[in-house]
Amino acid sequence: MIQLTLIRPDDCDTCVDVKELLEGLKKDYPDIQVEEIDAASEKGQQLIIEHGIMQSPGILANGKFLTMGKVTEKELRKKLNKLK
Amino acid sequence: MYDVIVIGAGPAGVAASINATRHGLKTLLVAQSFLGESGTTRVENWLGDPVLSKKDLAKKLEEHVKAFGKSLEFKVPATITKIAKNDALFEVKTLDNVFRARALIVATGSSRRKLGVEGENKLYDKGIGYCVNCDAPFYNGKNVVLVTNTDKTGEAFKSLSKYAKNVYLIEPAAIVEIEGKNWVTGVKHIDQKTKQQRLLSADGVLVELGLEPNISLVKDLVELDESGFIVVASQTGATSQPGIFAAGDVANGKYKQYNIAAGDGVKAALAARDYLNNL
Repeated sequence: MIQLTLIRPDDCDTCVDVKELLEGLKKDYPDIQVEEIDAASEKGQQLIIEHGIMQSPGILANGKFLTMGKVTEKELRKKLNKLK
Repeated sequence: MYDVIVIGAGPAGVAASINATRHGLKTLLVAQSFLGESGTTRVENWLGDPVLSKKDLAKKLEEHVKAFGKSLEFKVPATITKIAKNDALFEVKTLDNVFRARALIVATGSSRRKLGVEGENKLYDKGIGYCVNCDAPFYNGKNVVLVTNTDKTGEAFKSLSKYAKNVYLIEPAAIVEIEGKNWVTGVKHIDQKTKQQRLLSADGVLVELGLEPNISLVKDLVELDESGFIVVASQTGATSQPGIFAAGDVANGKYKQYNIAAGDGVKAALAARDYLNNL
């Protein structure tokens, strides 16, 4: 299983797009699970500092930094394939 | 040839095209996409739907247009390259076609206003952001330059100060260049006191300059106000160019909201009908 953690603020267009991308990828990557964490929460802030995330949304895979900011489906697939 | 071509498929453009069709005008709707860049991710004031995502609203607008079948033609997505007036007709050129109409409704909306300085495009999404509320939580303990001149300055400063180590407020006119290779490292600006150019080290730049109307296609055809919005007659949406009407966020109305834009679109369609009937 790949646990993906999406660290995002409330009002963020890019985050909605990335979340939809991740949900869409579940067909091809049935072993991914997506959890969302509010960037403004204590846990969100802790993860942002710990992983040096400076753009919304940040994504962790199994607790390790995967990507931040805008990301394309192709880039996400590439990164997920490396985790398999 | 069409009676009216509607440019833009947000609430204003879709409302205009639907109502023009309902009033018997041969109508063409041309746009890059339904709803485009405008607005927020979550819509809570669209009549009839307490909560909608932006994508769901875009889908609803598309479905409404499609419900008219062949009586409402649309080219979405399409990239418009030029709009011109040729004798009494308006020509809308796309990458692969030219469409002509006797009237035009411009509903191209607005986008977040950019700074227009060196380094801005190169470092977009690499330390430069245009949504303070979105990006503020990611600058915990960092040095951030906030560039703003809107009535949201106080709110933006407060939001960013909750997280950032230092927030440097700089007026847009003072910014000379944003520096950085793969990420923002600093901002070259004119110091207010010394009037000298100075480089300020920064981990990020957040820009909050309000909305910029998407007027590049019609800016030479119609009168614009000092902020670049199309000047319209409030009762009709008529512009300074006979036959061109404008609706929604691209026009100089005081309030920018989806429901207002939709109403503006209906008004422009009716005004276009009256204009054509009186030709």
